[in-house]
Order: sequence, then C-alpha cells, then structure tokens
Amino acid sequence: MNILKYRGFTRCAISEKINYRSRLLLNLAQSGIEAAATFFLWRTLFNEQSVINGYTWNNMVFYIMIAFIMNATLGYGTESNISNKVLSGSIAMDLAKPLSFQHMCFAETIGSSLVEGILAIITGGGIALLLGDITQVFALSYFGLFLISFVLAFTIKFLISYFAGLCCFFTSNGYGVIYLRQVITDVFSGALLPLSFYPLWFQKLSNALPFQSIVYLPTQIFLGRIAVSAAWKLLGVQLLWVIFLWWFDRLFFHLAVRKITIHGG
Amino acid sequence: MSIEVTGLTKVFRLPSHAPGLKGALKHIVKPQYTEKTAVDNVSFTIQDGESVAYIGPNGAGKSTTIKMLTGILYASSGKVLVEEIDPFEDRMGNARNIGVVFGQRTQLWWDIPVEESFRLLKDIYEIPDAVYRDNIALFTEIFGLGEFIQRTARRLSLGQRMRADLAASLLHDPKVLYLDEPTIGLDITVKENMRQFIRRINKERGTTVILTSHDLQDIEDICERVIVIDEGKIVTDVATHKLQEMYAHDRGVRAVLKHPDPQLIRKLSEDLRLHVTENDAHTITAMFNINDYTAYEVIHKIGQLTDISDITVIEPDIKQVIEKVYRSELVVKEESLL
Ligand SMILES: Nc1ncnc2c1ncn2[C@@H]1O[C@H](COP(=O)(O)OP(=O)(O)OP(=O)(O)O)[C@@H](O)[C@H]1O
Ligand SMILES: [Mg+2]
Repeated sequence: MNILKYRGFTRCAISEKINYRSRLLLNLAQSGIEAAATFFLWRTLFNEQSVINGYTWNNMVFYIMIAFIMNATLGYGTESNISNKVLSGSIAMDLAKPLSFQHMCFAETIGSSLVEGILAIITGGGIALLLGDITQVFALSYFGLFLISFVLAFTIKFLISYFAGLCCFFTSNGYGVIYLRQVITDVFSGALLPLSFYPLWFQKLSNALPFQSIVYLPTQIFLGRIAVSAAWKLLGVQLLWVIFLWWFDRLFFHLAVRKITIHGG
Repeated sequence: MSIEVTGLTKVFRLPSHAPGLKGALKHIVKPQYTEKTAVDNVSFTIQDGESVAYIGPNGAGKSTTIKMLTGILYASSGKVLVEEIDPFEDRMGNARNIGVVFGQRTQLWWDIPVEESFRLLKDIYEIPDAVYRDNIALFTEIFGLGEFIQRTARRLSLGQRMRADLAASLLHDPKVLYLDEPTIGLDITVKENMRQFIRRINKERGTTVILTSHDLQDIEDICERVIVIDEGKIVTDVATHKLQEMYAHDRGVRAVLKHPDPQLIRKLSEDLRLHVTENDAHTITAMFNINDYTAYEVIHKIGQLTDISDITVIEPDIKQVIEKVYRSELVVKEESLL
C-alpha cells in the first residue's frame, strides 16, 4: 500500500486551514482562554506557596504552555471535520474510492493540525517565554525525546478523536460526542491539572488509559522531571498505545461500516 | 460479465416510536423497530459495455441498489460481483474499477480548486501521468472545464459542478460507471452535453454504464436496456427498443377542425370505437391501436365527417410507455425478458 498517495490530503488541509483563518483563530482563542483561566488560578495559588506538589511557578508556566499547545493542535475544527464526514454522509463518496478512510483522515488531520500547532507554538510559546524562565526547566538533551513524545501524543490524540468521529455513525449528536471526548481528555490527560495532583486511585486509573500520553507524559519529559532512561520507557508506553489504538480503530471502522446506512440519495 | 447480482436484498431497520417526549422515553426503555425492505431479492446480469437504465418511481430502491453495487452499503442478503470482485469483501479493489456520480453529492472537495481535486484523485487512483494528461485534455475540451477549473467546488454552479464531477469519476478510466441522477437540475444544453459524453465514453471505451434518472430522455438517448424497479422488486428488464415496440401500440391523430362539431366525438367513438378527446372547440385527439387502424384510415374517417384544417400524428414515445409501467398498467411477462 502506498502511503504517499495520501500526501495530497495533507497539502489540501493546510491550504484549507489557512483559507479559513477566522475559524482557526476562534478555535485558538478557545484554547487560549482555557489556558489563561488555568494560568490565573495557579497564579493565585502560587501567591501562598512557592512550591506545590513539587511544581514551582516556573514549572507550572511551561506545563500550562504544553497543555495549551496540545489542546490547540488538533482542535475542535479539525476534529469536527471527521464527524462531519460521517454525519453529512459525504463519507459515501470516500468509501467509493480506493482509500482507507483512516489514512485519509490522518493525512488531513496532520495538515490542519500543523497549521494549528505552529500557531499555538508561536503564541503559547511566546507568552510562556515572557512569563517564565525556560533555561531552568528545559534541557536541550531532552529535545529529541520530547519531539518524539509530542508526535506520539499527537497520533494518540488523533486516534481517540477519530474514534469519537466514528461514533457519529450511531448518533447524530456530533457536538455532544466531541464535547464528551474533550472533557474526558481534559481530565485524564492532565490538561487541567498535573496527574500527580490527583488521588492515588485516580492516578492508577489514568495510568491504565491512553489519555495521559497526550499531555502528561510529554510534559514530564519536557520539564525533565524524569531520567532519560525512564523517558524512553514512557515513549514505549506511548508507542504501544499508538499501535493498539490504530488497530482498535480499524477494527471498529470495519464493524461499524457493516452496520451503518449512509443517509440521503 | 461486468455485473452479476443475485437475490440482492436490503432491509432497513427504522426506530419507530410514538411522537413526543413520552414516545421517545418509551423507546429508550423498550426500543421498537419497523423494517423496510428497500431492495427485495433483485437479480440481474450486465455484460461488459452495456448501458443500462435503472429506473423506477421515487423510493423504489434505485439509489439503495447502486450504493450496494459500489460497496458503500452492505447488503442484508444476496450476492454481488462487479468485474469478478465482491464489493463487500474487497471494497478497495472494487473501487478501483468503478466511477460513481451521485447527482445530490459531490466527490470534489468543497474548499479546494477543482484542479486540486483532480490531482488528489490522480494520487488516489494512482493514475499514470499520460492517462491523466489525456483525460484532462479530453474532458476540458468537451466540458469546457477550463472556464472554472481554478475555482473551488463551492463556487461552481450546479451545472459546472456536475460536469466537473462526471469528469472526476472518469479520470481513472473505470470499467463500470454508476450514475445516480446525473442530470438532476441541469439545463437542456448541459444535459445534452452530458448525454453525448456518456454515450461516447460507453461506445469508445466500452465502459459499462448504469444510470438512474427521472428524465426519460436520458434513458432513450443513452441506454440500450431498461430495468424497472418498483417497491424494491424488478418489474421489467428489457431492451429499450423492444419496450417501445412491444407496448407502443397507441398512436394518435390530432385534428384541427374548420368548424366546431359537437356531434363529432360521439360519431367517431361509435363508428370506430376510438378513444377521442376534445382539446378545445376546434381540436380533437383520437387515440387508436396500430393493430386496428392505420393513421390514414383514421384521418380519412375524420375527413369524411368534417372539414379538417390541420393534422398531426402523435407517435408513441418511451415516456408514455414508462409512465404506464409505473402506473402498473403494463406488466412484462417472463417470455418478453431479454
Ligand atoms: N438510510 C435509510 N434508512 C431507512 N430507510 C431508507 C434509508 N435509505 C433509503 N430508505 C428507504 O428505502 C427506500 C428506497 O430508497 P432509495 O433511496 O433507494 O429510493 P430511490 O429509488 O433512489 O428513490 P428516488 O427516485 O427518490 O431517489 C425508500 O422507501 C427509502 O425511504
Ligand atoms: Mg435515489
């Protein structure tokens, strides 16, 4: 199978994202406001204490930054693109072509997330650099590890969003599905609160789920809170989730397609 | 053999609940469904290079059948083979052999220029450069794509979009082309343009064409064979010209009279047992069966009774025939099948 034949989708998704600037900026603003709220909450808490649960204020600034970037990359616009295909029935035209729907969505998601991601890195990164001191938290030796972790985190987020999109085969409430997906991810990924702040049973639960791979694990590597050898182990965990979810989604798609009826016509 | 369909059936399951909140709540506790058999034990075979009209009234099951043939929708039972491939087992393999146009949908990407959509399709179908170039050149010439190929699909008129869509479905030289209402909502010239083109592709490339349409002119112009489906069942499967020959017994004579004659209709009906209707005071139409009279005999008879100022002979056409099939006035018997 030829992966390269999907590259056009990435290219087109990029230009589409750029053409729809206003939507892109609105979605960025949504993530930005979320990040700002978290930011000010922590600011008040750090007025009382200089270290909370092992996090300094400076740590927290960059934690919020990574969470913001991860939230904005593959944002609502990109995610709803998948469920819209299912809900509008335009998926019929995709199925009539020699295409893997999953590969196609992934290729498109890479394209639009690239635009969202770069914008988020520039804005979020810029603000974080003004507010915090990156030299204290980030060691260049972790850069490669973090990059791999970030890519794996993105892939896992895609696979979860894609699954949510496929759920629209069974419900017409696309917004509800995406919202639920976002809430669950926000809680279990550590986007709201570093996972070490939660009770132990909750941490154990999160460990068994794929969501922490999206925000928590990459931040642990970025902030250098773990040794290099442990970081490699985390990458292994992320990779396993990628493989598992990839095949899980494929199976789900094949089962769903048998059940579904495509609307209209 | 291009397409082989045996006992194809699709049953939709629809949630049925009483209207209102109470009904909805009841449905959650104890879901109830009604079943709708959209396609009912349909069988036919289509040879390479045939052009077949698949027609029937609204809701007959045409689109549902096409969706199953393309592998988009799974059958409840029955077997389909398209170019030796079972579309349910090998959707991708089947997709490589077929081109699809759904009049109500587009396969172009809304927000990118048509040209880019074509390029995407080139990648997807892995179309060789030479084939792609030749096809684009041909389609541009026939459809005048040059005028709007740089525009996004969103900014095209319906007619432009349909032409681009038809071109898109043929870029990879498919062996089978499915057209589900390809001329819906188009003006006469664009329709004619599309018909000519489809006929040409069918003749020159030997592409098998399966077309659904409510415009019977499409069928007369493009298709050599007609399959009629009604309430999910095939009611007629016959060569287009045979359909006309077999059932086109009715001819008519429309006569414009010099002087209105209130008695004329009664006289004609009694003498010749013709079905005569009055269009207005000066014009009458007499319908007759070609086995009983010639047009000359009918005209002669009217001429004996009154002075005629003008005469038109109404030839049977496929529209009347198919309307009759739809109204279940005609049922094709087994021996008249192809
Ligand atoms: N997804 C679906 N769920 C339930 N019933 C459906 C579904 N799709 C179609 N049907 C029903 O199946 C029957 C056949 O529909 P189909 O779309 O095949 O008709 P058609 O022959 O294409 O009609 P038209 O000429 O109006 O396009 C209709 O009664 C329709 O209501
Ligand atoms: Mg239809």
